[in-house]
Amino acid sequence: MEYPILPNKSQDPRPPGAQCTSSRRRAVMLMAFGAVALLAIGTALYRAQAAEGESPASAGEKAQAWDQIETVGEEDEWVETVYDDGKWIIIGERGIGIPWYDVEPYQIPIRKWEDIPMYPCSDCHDKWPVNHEQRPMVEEHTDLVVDHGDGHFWCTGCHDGRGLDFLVSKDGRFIDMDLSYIQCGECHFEELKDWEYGSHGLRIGLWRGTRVLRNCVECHNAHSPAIAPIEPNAPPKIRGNLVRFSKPAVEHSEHSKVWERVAPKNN
Amino acid sequence: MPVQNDAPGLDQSGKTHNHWTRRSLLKKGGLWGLFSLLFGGASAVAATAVTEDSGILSDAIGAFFQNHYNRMTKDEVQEALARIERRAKRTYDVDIEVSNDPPQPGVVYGYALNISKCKGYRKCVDGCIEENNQGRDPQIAYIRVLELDAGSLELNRSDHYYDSETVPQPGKIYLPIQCMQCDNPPCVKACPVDATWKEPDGIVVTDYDWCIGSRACMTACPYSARQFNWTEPKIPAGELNPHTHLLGNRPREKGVVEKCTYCIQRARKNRQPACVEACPTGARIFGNLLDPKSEIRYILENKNVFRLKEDLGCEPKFWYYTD
Repeated sequence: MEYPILPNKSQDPRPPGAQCTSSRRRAVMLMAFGAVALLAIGTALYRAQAAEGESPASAGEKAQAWDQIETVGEEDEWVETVYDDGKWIIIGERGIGIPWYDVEPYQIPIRKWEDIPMYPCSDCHDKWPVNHEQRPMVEEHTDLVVDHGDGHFWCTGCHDGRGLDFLVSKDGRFIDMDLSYIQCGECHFEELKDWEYGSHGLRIGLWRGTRVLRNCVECHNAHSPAIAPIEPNAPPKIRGNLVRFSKPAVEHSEHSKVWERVAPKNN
Repeated sequence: MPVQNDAPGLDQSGKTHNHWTRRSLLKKGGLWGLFSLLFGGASAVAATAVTEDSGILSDAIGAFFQNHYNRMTKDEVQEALARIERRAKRTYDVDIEVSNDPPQPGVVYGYALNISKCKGYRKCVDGCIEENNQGRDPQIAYIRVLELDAGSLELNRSDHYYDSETVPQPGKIYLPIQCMQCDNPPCVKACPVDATWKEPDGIVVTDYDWCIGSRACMTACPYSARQFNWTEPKIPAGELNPHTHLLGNRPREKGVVEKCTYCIQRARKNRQPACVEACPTGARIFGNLLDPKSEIRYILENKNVFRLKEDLGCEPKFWYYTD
């Protein structure tokens, strides 16, 4: 099954009310960012065009480049590099998603096939029509708890109803499963910014060289993202003949807590 | 240059020659005699007394005469590394590899810790203990996670023995403390024998063979980051980390002070410290302060950072920040 790379309203099977007004949204966005912001959109495609010696892109071409930023679901656009087990991907020369700042290039591990074992979803979902109705799951996905967004979210809010192999952005564009952080960042943009710059999330591998980042969904369960409290590791042992000076033993409550005291000798 | 009586020098004709006087001859002869007696006697004892493992005594003698790390020649360093490897083989029956990676040029290590992300799991503490071969009984830990009341940084009301069933507890924040690798380290000034110093990449290291265990550095450290080996460190042989550094996580002995080195054995191989890799929350950021594109520089320039006890002027290279 071949999916459209660019949003095409004529092929959009969703009811008219569910369609995003992508053209109006794009126009507003274009006006808002202006020419300076557009220059900062350094997509791999745009850079490739520039590298081929073409004339500076007109406003229309830039708009087209903006369209294609997030449509990197094409496998031939990925560059695999050998790192540990050769499972990391580079995406262009910079982060994707938010175009108004320069982040250092980074890589993320591929999650499809192995970490998402049921992928591709279309293996099953091609056979059934998409049911947009919010309902309890009784046959499949029974272990799935959607505790995200105070009950406002349902499957097709994030997974694309046209072809369930992809996620869908708020303006109806396909997002590859491995690039799910783009979708997370549509709402959690502060976290996405922190993550791309490196002050949020886990960096794996070396401190030097190209950064390899854990994707959002490797730590946060996208369906119920709250992280429950866990049991801590054991506290440090108290040395030798010392005991912990426990809180009830402090007679005057004004006194600060003391860590260690000499143990009382047995009478 | 005046001609000295007891030293080789120039005479008035300008020719160099060894000017042996009775005094210098006696002095040098006596010294050499002493040395030969010592070594000769030692080797004789080694030849006779030690039968199976002939390296023990010679290793002990070699370790006794081992020079300060910064004064050792390359060959002497190699001998010291081999001695530590042999000793670990005898003690733990584990083949360890002791490296002596030099500091990388253009690198000064810095650390940032997000206290709004830290949940007090203590994963870093155990990751550090496994990596750095600390003694297990009594337990030595380079990292202490302080539990504080939210809304304050009153360290005297903190508790690092917290043992709640789950963390994070409501109304509490968690503040891990370890060696901050100060740029103006008071521990270095306090050491009476120069056994600890700051490396060019900013890591404060200790020559564990030169340390005499005076514990002056522990008194000087405002963060209580240094730990003393009151007994011979006890490590289960299976848990010994074989990838070690001479100034880092090599097996230590009784009576020396040890400290966090930002995992010098890893950092100088471009790897991240064990605490960074152990932390599941991503609260810990490690990197090169001199690289303007590094993550830590982004945090220092864009986040709300503070340092602990900054007013003491130690210039710690360890920043705490909040989201």
